[in-house]
Amino acid sequence: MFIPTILIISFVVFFIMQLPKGDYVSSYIARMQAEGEVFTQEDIAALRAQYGLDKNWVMRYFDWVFKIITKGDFGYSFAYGRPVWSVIMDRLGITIAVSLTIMAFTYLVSIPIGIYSALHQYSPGDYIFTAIGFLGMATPNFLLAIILMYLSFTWTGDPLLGLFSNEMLQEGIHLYNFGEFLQRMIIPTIVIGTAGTCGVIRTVRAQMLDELSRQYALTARAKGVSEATIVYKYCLRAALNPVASGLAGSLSSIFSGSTISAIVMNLSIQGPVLYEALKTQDTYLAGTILMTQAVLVVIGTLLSDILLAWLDPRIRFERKRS
Amino acid sequence: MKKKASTSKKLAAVLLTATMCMSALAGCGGTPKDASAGGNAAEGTESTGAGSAQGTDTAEGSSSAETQAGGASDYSEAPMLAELVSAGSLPAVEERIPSAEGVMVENVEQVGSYGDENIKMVLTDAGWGTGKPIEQGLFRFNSEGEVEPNVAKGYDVNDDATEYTIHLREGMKWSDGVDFTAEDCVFFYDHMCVPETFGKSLWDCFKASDGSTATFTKVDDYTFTVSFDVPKPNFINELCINAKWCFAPKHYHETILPEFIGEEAAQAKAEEMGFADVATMGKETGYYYWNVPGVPTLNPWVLSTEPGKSDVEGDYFEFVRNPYYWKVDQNGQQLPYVDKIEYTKISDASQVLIKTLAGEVTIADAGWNDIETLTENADSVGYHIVQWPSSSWGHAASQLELNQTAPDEDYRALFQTREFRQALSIAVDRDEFAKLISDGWQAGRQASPAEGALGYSEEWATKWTEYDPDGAKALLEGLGMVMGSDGYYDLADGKDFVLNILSYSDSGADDTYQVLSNYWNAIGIKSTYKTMDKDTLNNNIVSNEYDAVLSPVAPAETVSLGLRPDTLVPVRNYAEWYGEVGTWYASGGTEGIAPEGDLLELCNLYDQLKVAVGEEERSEIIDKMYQLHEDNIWVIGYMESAAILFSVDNDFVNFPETEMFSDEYRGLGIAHIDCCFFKK
Amino acid sequence: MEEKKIENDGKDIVLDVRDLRINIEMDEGTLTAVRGVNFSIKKGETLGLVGESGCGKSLTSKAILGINEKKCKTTGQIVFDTDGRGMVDLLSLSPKGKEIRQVRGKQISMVFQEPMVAFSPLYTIGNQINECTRLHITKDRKKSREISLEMMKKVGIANAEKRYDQYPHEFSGGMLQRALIAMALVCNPKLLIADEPTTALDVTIQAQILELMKELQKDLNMAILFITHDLGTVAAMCDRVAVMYLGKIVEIAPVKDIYAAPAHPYTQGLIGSVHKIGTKKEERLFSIEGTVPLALNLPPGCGFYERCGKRIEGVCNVKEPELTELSDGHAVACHLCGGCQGCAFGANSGEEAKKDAE
Repeated sequence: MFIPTILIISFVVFFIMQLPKGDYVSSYIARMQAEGEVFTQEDIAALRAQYGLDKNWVMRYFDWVFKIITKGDFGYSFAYGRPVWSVIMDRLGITIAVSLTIMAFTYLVSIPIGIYSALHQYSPGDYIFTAIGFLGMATPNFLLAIILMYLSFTWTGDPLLGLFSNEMLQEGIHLYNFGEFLQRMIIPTIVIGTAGTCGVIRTVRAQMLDELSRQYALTARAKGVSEATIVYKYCLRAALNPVASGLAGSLSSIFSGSTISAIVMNLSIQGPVLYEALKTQDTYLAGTILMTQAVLVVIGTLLSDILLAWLDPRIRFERKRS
Repeated sequence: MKKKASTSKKLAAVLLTATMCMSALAGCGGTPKDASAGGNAAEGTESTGAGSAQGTDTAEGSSSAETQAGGASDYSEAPMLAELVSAGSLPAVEERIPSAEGVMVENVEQVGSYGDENIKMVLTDAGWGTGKPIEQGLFRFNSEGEVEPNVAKGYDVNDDATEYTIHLREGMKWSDGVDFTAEDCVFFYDHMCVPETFGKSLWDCFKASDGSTATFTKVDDYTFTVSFDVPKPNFINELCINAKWCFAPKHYHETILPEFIGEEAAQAKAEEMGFADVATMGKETGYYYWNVPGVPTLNPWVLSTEPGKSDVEGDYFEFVRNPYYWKVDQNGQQLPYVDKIEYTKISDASQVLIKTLAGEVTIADAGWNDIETLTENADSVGYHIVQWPSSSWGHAASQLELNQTAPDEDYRALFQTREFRQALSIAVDRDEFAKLISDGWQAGRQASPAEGALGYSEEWATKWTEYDPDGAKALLEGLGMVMGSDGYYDLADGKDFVLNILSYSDSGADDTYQVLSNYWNAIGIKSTYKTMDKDTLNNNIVSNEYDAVLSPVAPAETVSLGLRPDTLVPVRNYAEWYGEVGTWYASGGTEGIAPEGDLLELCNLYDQLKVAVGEEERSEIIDKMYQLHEDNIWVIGYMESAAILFSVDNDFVNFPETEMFSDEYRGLGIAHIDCCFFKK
Repeated sequence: MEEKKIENDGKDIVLDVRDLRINIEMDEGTLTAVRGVNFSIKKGETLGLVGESGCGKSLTSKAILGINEKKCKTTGQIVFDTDGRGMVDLLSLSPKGKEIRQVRGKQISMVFQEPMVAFSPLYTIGNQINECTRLHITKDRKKSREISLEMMKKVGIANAEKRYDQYPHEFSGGMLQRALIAMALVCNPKLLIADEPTTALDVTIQAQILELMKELQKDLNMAILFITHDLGTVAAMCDRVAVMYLGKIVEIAPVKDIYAAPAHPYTQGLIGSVHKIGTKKEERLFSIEGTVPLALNLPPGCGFYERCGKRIEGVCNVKEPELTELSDGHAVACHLCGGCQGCAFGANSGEEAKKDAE
């Protein structure tokens, strides 16, 4: 089922990408003309031929898929003039680093808060965290980003725009400026992370409340097991079930990173690349990125299935039976 | 608000008047454009002296024959280069740049000094942004719009303008130390332009009026000729506009062009360099060459080849000093003063403001939207705002272009009638309009040449600008239009008249249309407004499926009709107002729609201009062309264009307070940032 | 009438519940779930606690271990003969503290109704039983595993080694209940609280489990508080029986007396509603009319007043009856017993009760 799914997705992606009027060449020319360059009709025709955009899109699609299967060649990006994978690889490392950091932050923050909220249901703390969580979810990421950048600028004179300061860009990342990198990660982490925390907090809280009231928790308590053990050994592990399911989509989002926030905060991750590619109809680049994301979703689902089975023996048992 | 507007406007007016005075002086008598057989105006950024003798230009400062400071032994160089020389990895400065005879001297306003600080800029896309400020063509425009020597030392032209002899500078070298000779120019034409190796069809400047193409011939190492079958009087100017530079490093391209190494090897080379195919490699190395690491150039700064700093698609890259740069200041110091330009990528144009406020840029674009924030913080951060007048004929979103070849015959006739355009023009209260649209920063104005550009006249700027709705109605009725029952005018035969206006998304026309439509409604003209993607609009224009465009894709703008006529003369299907006439002209009369009346006259005049010999004849023709525009007001404008703003670090000296911002002057190119330095 | 204390030897009392009251605050008012419960259990004895659902028996039993929900406010005393510290009032211990955890699972254990949900599905049975062992007996892995396995075999789990590493969902109901019992007894508690341990099991398994419990009780000399609503089981398991209604003990007596001579109308109704062998087919099953009222804003008087066939207006709905001793070990809380006359005992009450009244 894996391969057909991917193929269908790639086909749909290709189809949708060529729907808007014009193609990469027309948007390229529009941009260049805005800078004063002059294009004659022959120039335009030559460009189209060069990019192969004078061919019908169905033909181009099959051509592309054929090349992928036989040569592993994903085509090249019109905008960058380079093979697609070299463009993706450029930002892959940093994207993964950023995404993993944010994911770690999200889970490390929300799971304890979720547990706390469940244990102290209806306490002031519970209400405060819930309120913050909902606020974080309701506020658009880019607005939060702008506010935080503004605050940073007013207090410190440095808006912390981008993941790297100029010096870091010149000198590269070393141990001594790694701290600065982390400092600049603060705003992106808060902005992108908080959006995700609310969901996890509420889920963990609800699940924990559910689990805490179960009979086995009572049994454990009756055995003389400490509250902490009940919470962490028994209830938490059961409560993490939906959280593990949620990881399925994370793999793909780790790859691309969030887009609008990245643009606002000038983060050099994959999201803006995809956005630009879609805007300018850089077909092969966008198609490859989207297809990769689809593949990652499938892999992610598989991984989260494995994780679930590890967490919950009942699932293993059912698998064995069926 | 109004106070601010008037102060800045006063400033602008003073500066522009000053510029005008200077151009008047330079032009000596009303023809600032100079392409006289033989002479060139003096070079250097501030000189006002008249030109030198036939063609050849010796290294000079002011017009007199005084030798300026700087014999060969008087050259000095940047410390970083001096280090390399003493380490033995770089030849001495006298061997790197032309001798006194050939070197180009820039008479800078303040003589600068070398230092540690680098120029910092930001951009969303490399491309022309990195190129225009440092581009060095064979010739260049000075602030008055006259051509002056640059890479070339000068030129001669024969009597009937069929042969141009171009003189290069002896001792000039590419950024990798290889000699720069006439062979590089001839090579560029013969092996790159003609075979179209960089994806551009052969430029018009190399074609004569009969369609024949130029011939480049090397005379000696530092001289070559360009010859045509029929007279081509305007070649040098056209060269400046069209081809800009006219050379390429032969020794480099011989290693990558398929003509020399074969298709297969070229393909391998392309892949090695990371390009998709030979065509892309040709385009990038041949046309956008300054953005490819390793390509030798004549520019003051060259893209770094250091890993992590040489990828213009990356987040950060540098342009580093060219040790073989062939210009010195009047004290013999080799330019540029600054070692590097550091470029940082931003993902959105709005982030320029943030970078400016953080003090992280030397020169940056500034927007009128942010003018208050910028001026508030200017002193504390340490920059100032400069205003450069634009060469546009008026605020783009306030330009209305009626398709003179509109598909419907009746509409076409109406649009072609002067009185109709007049009615639309005087129906609008420009004072109110300008206040609403620009918060009072700009004033209302007719679409006409900018102050400081050729063709400017106060009359033209105020023609048909009085607010007279009744007069408008009278004009409409005079044309035979009849007031319909819906309160709007219909055509004489009773057909409903609707002015269907198109524009492209985010053009700014949403706002201007909203205001304008009120006035048009008041005089009984019904209108509709639709926006679409720019590409879609282009498609409509190409297929002549439109009536009128507000905020045209190709708004009226030029420094001179003679130099860059594209938006104002129907040379091809380009600007919205002349539509299919452009196609008619470009196809030689076989396609498109033939013009009549004044439009035909305009085309005829342009034909004459292309073969006109002699400065007087040219300026006469150009004047007549301007006059036609003034008579007809083919492009209706409602507001003056805003000046282009830059924020400039206060410590960055010699950056011009004002210049005209235009493509002809290569945008920031005319700022000559190779002559700027940081004061300590 | 004065409250009389329940007679006991004073010796060998393992658990002594005195005036246990549990209130639950709700929006509608205070739910007086347990309204003054008194009983005691002797060493090795099985006390049955019988009553309908909602009478407060579970709350009472959980109160002993302090594992009721936070919203239950408990007062009174639950005195337990602890190992090493003498008689301690368990209610004085913090429910989350260390002291009570040393009692739970070790000195007092509890077995629950539904074994299927009593275990965590995420860990093996062995792990969960062993947790108890490691918590209270020894931290040594090998030794504790041996002890746990021993216990598992003792409760009759076949193939204990294999079963040790299996998960609850791989066990049958009866097997799980055995495991639960094993877990409860692995530390040799003094008191086992069995809250309806066989209700969820089928009859044959029920018998086995009860057998098992009796055996183990003899073995370990353990007291059992056996909570149930099934009178049949009571007869099989218990030495004494306490009948609870609406948060109070209405009758407490040795098991024989309960069946032979139930004194409280409620008890009589309960006994009467058990389908006896020999009843004619056409006779309708007896049931006490009405349902247990909610213990919210109770009117004064006897809690059973509304449903009692023998109620005396003006007496029973005015003053709450106290637990009065009728004979040795047999006490009842009813205005109509212990020196009353003219009781109009209903047709379904036992003959013996009539005799008593006269």
